[in-house]
Amino acid sequence: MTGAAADVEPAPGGGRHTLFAALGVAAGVALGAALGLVAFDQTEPPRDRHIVVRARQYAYDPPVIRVNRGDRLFLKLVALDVMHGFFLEGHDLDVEIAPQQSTFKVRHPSRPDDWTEQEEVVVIADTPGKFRFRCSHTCGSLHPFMSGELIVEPNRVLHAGLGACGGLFVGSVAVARRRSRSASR
Amino acid sequence: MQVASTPKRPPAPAPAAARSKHPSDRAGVDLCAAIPGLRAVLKWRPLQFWLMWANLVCFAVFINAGLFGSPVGSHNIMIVFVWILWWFLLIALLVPFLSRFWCTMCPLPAFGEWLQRLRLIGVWPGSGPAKHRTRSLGLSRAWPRALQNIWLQNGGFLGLAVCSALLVTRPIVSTVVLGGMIVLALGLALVYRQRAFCMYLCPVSGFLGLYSMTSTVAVRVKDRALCRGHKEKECLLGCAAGYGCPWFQYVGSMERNNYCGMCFECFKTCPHDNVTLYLRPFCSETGIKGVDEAFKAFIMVALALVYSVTLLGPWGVVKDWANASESGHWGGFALYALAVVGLCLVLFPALHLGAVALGRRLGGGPAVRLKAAFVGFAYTWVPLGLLAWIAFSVPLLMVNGAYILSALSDPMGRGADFFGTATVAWHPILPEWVPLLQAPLLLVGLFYALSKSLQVSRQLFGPPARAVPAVLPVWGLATAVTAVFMFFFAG
Amino acid sequence: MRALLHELFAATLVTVSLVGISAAMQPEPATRGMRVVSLTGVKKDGVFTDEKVDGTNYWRRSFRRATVVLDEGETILLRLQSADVTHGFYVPELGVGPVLIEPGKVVELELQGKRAGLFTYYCTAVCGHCHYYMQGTIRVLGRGRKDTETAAAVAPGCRHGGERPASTPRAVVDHGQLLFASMGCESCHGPRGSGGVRNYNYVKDVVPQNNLLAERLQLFEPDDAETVLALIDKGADLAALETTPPFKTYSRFLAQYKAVQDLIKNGNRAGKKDPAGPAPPLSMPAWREQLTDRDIESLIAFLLAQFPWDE
Repeated sequence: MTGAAADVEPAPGGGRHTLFAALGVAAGVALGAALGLVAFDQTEPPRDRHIVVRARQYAYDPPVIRVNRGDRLFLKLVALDVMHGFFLEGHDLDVEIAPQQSTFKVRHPSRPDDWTEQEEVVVIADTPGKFRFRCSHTCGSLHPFMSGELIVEPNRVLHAGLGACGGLFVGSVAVARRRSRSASR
Repeated sequence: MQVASTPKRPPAPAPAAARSKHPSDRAGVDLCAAIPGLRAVLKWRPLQFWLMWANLVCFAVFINAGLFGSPVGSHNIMIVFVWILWWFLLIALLVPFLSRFWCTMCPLPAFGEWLQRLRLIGVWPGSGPAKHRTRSLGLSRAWPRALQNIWLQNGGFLGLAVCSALLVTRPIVSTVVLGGMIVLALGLALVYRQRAFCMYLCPVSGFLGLYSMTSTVAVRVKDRALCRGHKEKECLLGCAAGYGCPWFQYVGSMERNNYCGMCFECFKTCPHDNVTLYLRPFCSETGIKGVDEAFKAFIMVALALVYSVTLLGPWGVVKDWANASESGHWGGFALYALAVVGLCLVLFPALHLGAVALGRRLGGGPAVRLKAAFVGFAYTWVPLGLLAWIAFSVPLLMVNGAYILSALSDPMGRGADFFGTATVAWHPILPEWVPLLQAPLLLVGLFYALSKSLQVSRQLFGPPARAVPAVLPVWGLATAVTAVFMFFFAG
Repeated sequence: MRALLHELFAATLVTVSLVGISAAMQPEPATRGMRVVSLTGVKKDGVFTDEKVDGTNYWRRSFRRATVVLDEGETILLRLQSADVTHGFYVPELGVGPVLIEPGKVVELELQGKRAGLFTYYCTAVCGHCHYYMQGTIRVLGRGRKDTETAAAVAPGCRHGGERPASTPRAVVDHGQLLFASMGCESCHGPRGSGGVRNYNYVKDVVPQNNLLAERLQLFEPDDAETVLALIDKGADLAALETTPPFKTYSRFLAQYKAVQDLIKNGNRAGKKDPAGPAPPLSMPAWREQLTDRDIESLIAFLLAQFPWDE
């Protein structure tokens, strides 16, 4: 693998140059990611949120639930047309939602066959990141693509990822410009 | 007599691409020398038959399940194996590592090719003065010159993509499309020469060709001088040992993987065993040729964006539009189709053109033709698009992999249980880790996009003092597009 | 010669494998020595059908509702499937179900014709607009009797897609009437709320009729009912009128009116007549997510207007 600014034809002292370029670009990525992590790490203090999630063929309303780390979510789950599910990634939660009922059936996939009937389910958003909730109950043609998103801020993967993108760009530009200057000398 | 015509291609964007010392050829490990027995396997005539047959058997299962099995896609092997397993293997493993090895075993053109040759394994030798050549059934017409490009493939793929929400969820739609491709390939085989369907029409072939440029293996000759001096050209015309290249390629000067269908006929026909399989670094080829190929690159990146919204996204309205035959939102579907086609054919190419034109100005290069720069820089989107597609396909397998187990035991979704896995319940595998995998994949794609576009820029604009400023706008655009993917996948 | 043999072998292999696979994939899996009846739930038609449902026909046409016929004492194997969404299957009188039928899975149940007669099977998982019509007949024939009887006590076929009236029409009663049909209320409460639909092991045996709603709302004078209708039609806030009641028994009416609204919104599980028996197949569903407050007012208005004042 060669550095982003590595050359088509090896320049004099190519090996050293390539190593330098790779280090420069890697430093850019690392700095960018770190910058992204640090810059967006602040969130509001935790609070309780009461949210009704309505499932229909083939989406949830609201499609995206955006909360802060530490928030407690009190979810009421409702199906509007046919039976749906609500499998929340990373939270050991799976729900079977039947339409026109006042309760829904909850289980924890780590204990697969232990269903309880509930009117509300509590999710503690203690891990930041993006967690999709997916329909776990075959509900028609687009069932495999029925999902929604729980974003727990600070969404570090996104911040680091965007920072790394920018860092990769800036690092590559820096290395390439330095290279072009030294080549023209 | 068979005369393979070389497809019309616009001239190479830069003289550098034609130089024989280009790094993309012959740089690499000769796998046939490194792996004992590999050459013998590739020269073994029945190889392709057995591979095709194995896939044809699977295909027969899929078609039957699509027609007579449960209409529920996630429990029908047609959908589960084609759009989860095959798609993942194809985009994430076969294309980046084995180039067009899928085309070696693809069952779609099998009937057509067997009929052309009146053979499933052997060679149909000519008679009389042409007895050293091969024969073929059918009209053996040449493909129309105006269509000797991949525009039809671009259009076909885009057309299927607009209907993808139906294609990948209804077993019957997949069956009709794949079955239709078999029939089309058969019909074309009887009218046109050799693999005209694969070369110019197959919608899958278009992106396989483009993305196989990145692949770590390549079929090339060891010594070009030997080919230049060898007048018989069995690799083009065929001989008793094998057919002339069914993909109309001349391996003696072949520099790109794009149109090499890896049928390995040239291994069989070459009397000097000059053809071999090279192992080489990822993204070794960078030369895109022709506006058609450039648009293929745009279409693929744009469609990865579209699918990230339509299929992986949480927005129900978009799904309703894409799924019009069930939801009845035909007005929305028209809007959706227009948006998809507009993004692929207008907006994305326009952004690219803008970046390239700006770069050309910064690089001070009126000497470089805008078209050459437009086409050349399109390679930026090849590694980025491929890695974005891999990032898109990773969750397909991690989230819906359990369907593979249940469909294996119950291919029709009718209550069979062949291997005891029919009752495996849907359970995603570490789905919360998906964004953590996708983000690095995107960064790898961006890294290669930046690195390779600079290489292209050097070929177009020459010294770094001009090549570096010339590439900057394209770099900016590539970074911005990666950031958009990052938003879809991780945010 | 050897080459020709190879070709023949290859051609035979291809033919045999393709034909073999197609043939092998046709029959249904083995059955345990019983007559098998395959029923497939189809959401869009609101039926369990005995027709074969697959990719070639599901998206194209409607399917007929199955009537299952068996002899007294006979046991059959029901193979239950769903072509789309989760359905349920329940025959309370014959002690079968309720079970959920998930798409792409097959539920096999033994059904025994314990005694001659007509029995109703129900879908017990709300499965879309036509769910409330998703019922059918199981006919158990007595010894020596021919299969001549016709209709069973099941809801009519689902004729509409559950589409809501485009906008609230001016006459609130008309809006209620449309909803009463399109939401499937009539499948249990009878046409225009006339009642009479059997609900096995329910305390009152039949689903309550709705056309006597005026009585339940403590409206004993036609004029009072007219007043209420006019108020609902105007969109008046009925609760706010408690201080200036338009008629004498208004506060009693209002209490009942709120209770009925809540019943429609939140539903009610049907009570068992025999506590040891099976759960009644029909219960009042919760409509708060499907109907707006205005929809519910319209339904009440429509049912008020159905009261047979002449009798």
